Amino acid sequence: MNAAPLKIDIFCHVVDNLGDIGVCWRFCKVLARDQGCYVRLFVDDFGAFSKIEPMLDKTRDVQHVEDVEVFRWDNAVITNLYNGCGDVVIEALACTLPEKVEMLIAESRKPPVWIDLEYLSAEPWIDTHHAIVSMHPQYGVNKTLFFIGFSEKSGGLTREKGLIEQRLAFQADPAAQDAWRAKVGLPPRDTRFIDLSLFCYAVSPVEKLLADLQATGRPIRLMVPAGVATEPLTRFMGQKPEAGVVVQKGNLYFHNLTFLTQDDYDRLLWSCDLNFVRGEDSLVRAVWAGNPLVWDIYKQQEDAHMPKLRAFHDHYWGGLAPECREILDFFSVMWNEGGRQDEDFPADRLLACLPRITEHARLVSLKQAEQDDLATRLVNFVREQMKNQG
Amino acid sequence: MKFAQEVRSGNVVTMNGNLLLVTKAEFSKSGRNASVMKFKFRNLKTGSPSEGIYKTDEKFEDVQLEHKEVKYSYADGDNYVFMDGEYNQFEVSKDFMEDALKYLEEEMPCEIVMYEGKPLSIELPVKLVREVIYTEPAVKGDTSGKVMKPARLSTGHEIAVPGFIEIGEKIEIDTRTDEYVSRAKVA
Repeated sequence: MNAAPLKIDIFCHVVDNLGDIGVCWRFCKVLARDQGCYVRLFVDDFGAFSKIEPMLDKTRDVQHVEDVEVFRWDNAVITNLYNGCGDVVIEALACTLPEKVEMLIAESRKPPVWIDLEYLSAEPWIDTHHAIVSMHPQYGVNKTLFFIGFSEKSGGLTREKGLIEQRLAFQADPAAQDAWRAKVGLPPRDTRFIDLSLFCYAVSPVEKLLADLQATGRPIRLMVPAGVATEPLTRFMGQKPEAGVVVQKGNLYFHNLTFLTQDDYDRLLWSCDLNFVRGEDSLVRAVWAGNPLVWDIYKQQEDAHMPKLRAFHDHYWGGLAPECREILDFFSVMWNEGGRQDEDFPADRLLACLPRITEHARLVSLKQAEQDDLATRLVNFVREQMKNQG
Repeated sequence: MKFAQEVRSGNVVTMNGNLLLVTKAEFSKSGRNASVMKFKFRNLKTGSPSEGIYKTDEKFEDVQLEHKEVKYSYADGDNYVFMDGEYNQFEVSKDFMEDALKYLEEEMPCEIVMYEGKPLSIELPVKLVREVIYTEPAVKGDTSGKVMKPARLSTGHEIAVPGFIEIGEKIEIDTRTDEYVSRAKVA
């Protein structure tokens, strides 16, 4: 007999940009569609959310979007509408639950499984800290930190059922690729060019990168989603990026795109020879794309992000030919340190290594996809906890 | 009340009506993730072990117990013997000492924690100086302190130190986080 669907409440606080809501929204959709869970998502910034989910009606406090019941997370909604917890309550990505929800958990005769979903990391210590059921020091109920990660012992990564098959089919179908390219305003595939997608933080040394790519003399098409690196691109191109307008600067061809939906951004990553990605949601999607990537990691004080970046490289690029690994490491550190005055990006050497990096990325992506995804691991963990609680 | 980051090995906290001795406190931090503490506990009534992972800003109810200043004398099987200034001896079981064992050296001053008149555990000084007995050669030209490497201390415990630290150097360590602080000042 099938178990009853789990009722899951997820709270998402939008810190900045669209990364937090991007991660949460994908996760919610997978829990609902692939795991059959009844998901209630509480989001405190409908403005940010509506950018990645056009079907969201910003004027409504409660609505169903893509199999998920979405709530505006504000005091009035929590006070008036949140009257009982689901089987699971998830505080996602460093948010703090509303006091009322904490009280409901603390005072419940049968408390929900309380999960603190932490940001992604490939650092080895995650494995010994993930999913350890811990008694809350104040309330005496259990709470568990669940770490999104790359290893078998971590919480895993979000991956929709059939995603890899869809990607492989797309990459094997030139007509489908060209049809999609036409839809978003990109030119057809052309093997004379290296196609590169660019998604980065405002502090990234974009102009330096572009100058060094230009110096390679290789024909490169840069696909840039709307709103990314607008100022440095404007300076470099001599005009503001405009969706649908192609700008040529020597061997570089800039294809400025409109804001892409999550599905279209996936296809962009599947289509490009090299993807510059930023934050955690696009990193994971680039991993599933199976193409070479350079990660622009979220910057922290005292360079706290650098060990995390190195851990990702050790995990993902482990086993890559040493000469290519060295270039990727150097390139990535330079990209994340904001560039160096006296050194150039080794763009020509990176491009020369692309075939070997691609081969490696394809294999590692498939190997990663052999593991259970985040939603499967969470549901298994919760069911085990519920069984133990009786 | 103490924040999790201030809770140390040797402290006793209350949770759900139980008195729990902290036998191991391990600090970890990552990019965007919250800094966390991993604790190993021992229930003072039942002796049963447990563990938990907590964000460093979680608040714990700590219990004030009697402390005595002592020095470590010697190991006797699974017990460790400490002595106060009046030559009174106190034995602490290995099971209650996990973290302290990483830095324990003869004649090391520390505080013994007493519970109902019996020695329970020890609390280490927040900062200690220890000698590096093995590490890979210094990284030439690196004085930034950003590149870390493992170093074995005279107690056998390993911690991460900056690339410029060499064998034989004495370093100051924060025992709460197991982190290198600085080169020890020469007296």
